Amino acid sequence: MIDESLLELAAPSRSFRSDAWRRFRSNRLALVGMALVLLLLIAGLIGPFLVQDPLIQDRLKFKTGPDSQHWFGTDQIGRDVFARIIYGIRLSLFVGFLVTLLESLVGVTLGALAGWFGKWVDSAIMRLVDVFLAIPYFVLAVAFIAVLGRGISAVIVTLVITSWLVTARVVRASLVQAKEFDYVEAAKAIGVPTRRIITRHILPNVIQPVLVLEAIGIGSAVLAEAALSFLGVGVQEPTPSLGLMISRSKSFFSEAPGLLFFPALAIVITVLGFLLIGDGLRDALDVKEDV
Amino acid sequence: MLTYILRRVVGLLFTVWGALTIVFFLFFLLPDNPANLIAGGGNRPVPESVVKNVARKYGLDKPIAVQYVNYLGNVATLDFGKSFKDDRQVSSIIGERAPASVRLAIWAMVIEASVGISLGILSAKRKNSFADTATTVTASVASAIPVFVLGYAFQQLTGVYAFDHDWPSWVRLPVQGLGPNEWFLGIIPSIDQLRSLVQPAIVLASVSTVIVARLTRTTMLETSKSDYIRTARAKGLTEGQITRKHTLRNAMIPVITFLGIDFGTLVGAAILTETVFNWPGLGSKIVVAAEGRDLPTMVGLTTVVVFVYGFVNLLVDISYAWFDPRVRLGTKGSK
Amino acid sequence: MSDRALLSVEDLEVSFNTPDGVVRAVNGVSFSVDRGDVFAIVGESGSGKSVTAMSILGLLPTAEIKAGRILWQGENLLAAPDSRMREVRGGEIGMIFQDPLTALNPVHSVGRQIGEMVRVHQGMNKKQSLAHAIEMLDLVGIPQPDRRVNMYPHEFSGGMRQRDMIAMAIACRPALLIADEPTTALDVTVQAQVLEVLISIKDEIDSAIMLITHDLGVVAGVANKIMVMYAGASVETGDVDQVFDQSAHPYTIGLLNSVPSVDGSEEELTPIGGQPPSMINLPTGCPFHPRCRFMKAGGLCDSVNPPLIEIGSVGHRAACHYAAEVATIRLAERS
Repeated sequence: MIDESLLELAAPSRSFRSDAWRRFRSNRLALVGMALVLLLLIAGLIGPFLVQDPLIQDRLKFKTGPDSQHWFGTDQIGRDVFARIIYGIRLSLFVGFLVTLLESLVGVTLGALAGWFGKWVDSAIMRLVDVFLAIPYFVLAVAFIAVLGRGISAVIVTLVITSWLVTARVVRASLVQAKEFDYVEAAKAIGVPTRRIITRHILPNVIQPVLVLEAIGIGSAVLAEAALSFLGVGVQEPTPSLGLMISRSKSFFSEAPGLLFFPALAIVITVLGFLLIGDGLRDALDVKEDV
Repeated sequence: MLTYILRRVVGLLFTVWGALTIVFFLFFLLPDNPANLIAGGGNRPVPESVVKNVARKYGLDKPIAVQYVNYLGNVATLDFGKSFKDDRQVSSIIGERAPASVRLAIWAMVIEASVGISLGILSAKRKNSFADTATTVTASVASAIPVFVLGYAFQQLTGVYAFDHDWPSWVRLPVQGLGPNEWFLGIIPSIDQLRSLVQPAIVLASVSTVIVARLTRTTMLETSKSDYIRTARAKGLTEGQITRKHTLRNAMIPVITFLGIDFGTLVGAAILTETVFNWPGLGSKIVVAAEGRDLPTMVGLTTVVVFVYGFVNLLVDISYAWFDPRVRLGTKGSK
Repeated sequence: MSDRALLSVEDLEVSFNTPDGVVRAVNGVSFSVDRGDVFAIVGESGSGKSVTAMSILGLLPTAEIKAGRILWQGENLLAAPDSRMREVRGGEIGMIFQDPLTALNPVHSVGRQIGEMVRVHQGMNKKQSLAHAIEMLDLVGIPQPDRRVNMYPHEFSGGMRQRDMIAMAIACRPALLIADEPTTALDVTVQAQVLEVLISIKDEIDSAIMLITHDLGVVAGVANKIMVMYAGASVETGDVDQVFDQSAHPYTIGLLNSVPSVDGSEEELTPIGGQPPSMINLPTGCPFHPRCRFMKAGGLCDSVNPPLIEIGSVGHRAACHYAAEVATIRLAERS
């Protein structure tokens, strides 16, 4: 008689999680990523309570360099750059997390429906995804903005709509693949209830690629918001947005290079941090590598 | 081969039709008053009578189904109406600005493919060497730098710094604009033209070049572990012959596929690059149109992009078949 | 060396450095192959037979050849420079592999792959090499070779594909053809055909075949000489008749007893108990002794590694301290 405990050997179990965590911890780049993101989270969550008002203009100091009062200097209308960066980071993280959360809800739901039920549900949903993907990501975003108008809510809605597509595809693909695994067949054959099959055997295999995707996706959302704000169709003045700050800094580069440099650095650190975490997750969760 | 192409074309047409439906939904159904937007009322108030005129002229007072059919018909005849900003036919605006974008995109892809693939092959050959690790690290960092920041950096370097510090004149490049618009055979730039082309092209290519390099490295390494490479060695070929005639041909297949998908990313990045360098193409135009909520122009530009992207993917599919005879002939298998 | 002798391997030792330790894949193997021979190397997976074969052509870049000589027509290949090895590979010694689907390049036509042999080794041009490829295909019995020469590997059935590989391996009329499990991936009926092709080719070009296999039926069908390998060492060598009828090594006897006979004349199968040894930690003394039913407790089996010694007829050797007894017991059991 086949004992279900034998199936435990094939399917990911609790120790897998701790095993993955151990691998993640030993990956130096992933740790760097976590450190960066942690830094950013502190800056974004606590920073605003500690810095000056980013909207106040100090009319005596325009485009001054870093000094004791303004650690990163002031911008072209006298606002404290450091404060604006902090608030900008907060905005980026807010947009990044919110967009990713919403789009993964939509994407996972639709992808799961498509993958699980198959047949016409799968066909319909995937055709929809394909058709959306026929319009290049950023063009679609700009198009939505044109219709929805500017501002942060429009940006969030737009990015959610353009991002759920890839998530849906990945979820569906892993689900379809996981359904075919031999140990799932085996579990069905010995009468394991469907619910258990899903939670114990299929779900863990699907969550892995999605987790990696979403981690990196937070960075992509941050970049996209920065790009839209840079173009002038995203977040509007006077709200501090890293992309917006960069576009405004162009004419003042020789006098105040920090106006370009600091926001750019903030963006790079944010995207890099999530990218490294995503890569680290991918390596840590990849069961096959361990042979 | 022919059936393969035909099937792909049919698939493409269906997808394009679907995308156009989305465009229709987006621009005609989503806004609560498209006529108002088209009349220019996105950012400022417009007189009621003007809005009514626009509604009549564009058939926006007709039922949705009729509007839809009209829209598709208009797409077929390339009639997108007039941009209220310039008061010109959208189709002529597109026709005017398209060449600049096409040229920029083609050159960016040439750079991306040639530099990316060469770097990838080199990295694979010298696996785990300094050059190899450097490329991988650069890839990660480069993908985190926004393309517009890179564009600015270039501009500052060659446009401002070079002048301030008296660098040789060939490095002092124009930072904006198209340049003299001199091209041989439509695509090859004159020397003067090259000076305006090189920065935007490199910046646009930078987005994906390192990804192409990393992908090429991976596929080259994977392919070289294949059984048929061992066979080639057993036949007495030199390593160089093996790489050129056997590994490369097979390793390129996934890379070509990627280049096709990446074209979509390129289009998006082009919007930013053209804006930074003031390159008068479709990308910079779409920003202006989005800002001004100029619906006719947006519809026109989006539609064109859908067609071009679809066409490029078709080309990639066809070239994929040329590279891989299993796809071309179908895996019917045994005789 | 007589002028019929082609290959002589002397005391070959090959090992691999792995993170878990040093894997001693081949521990002192010696044999020789003459023109006209079909020399079979038989053993389980991991016995070292493939490693031996691939070491002859230097196809294992990560392996360390610790000792021994590989004399090809008098020349030690282990001391030969890369340029000479490339001449030998394909030009003088041909090799075919187990799975023709993965061992042939999927994106080149079979004609091109066969022709590559003569283009590289004999400097033929494209037209000549194609004509030669057609000749080779005909030689291995592929119907309509002029049409098939332009087809791709995946368009052939398994047996035909293996013939394509044979055609490729013999294109330069090598004096020795090494066949690594050539029939393992094929249906039984097709196996016979492929073996027939191999033998007819051998006769046609007066060459020799080294056949690596785990299938004793194949050996009985076509080989004239055999070497049985276990745990990286050769445990019994000689003419096939001698080794099959007068087996003197317990492992050989175990193998022969494990093979079901087609006419059902055996009462029961007696498998060899136990597991193959770890190639990192080999048993002391004779590597087979933990599983040997003839093992003498208190004897030499667990302390001294038995050398290959001649038994009975000339050319028949076995690596067992008590080979004579074992052979006698065996003959008794069979009568």
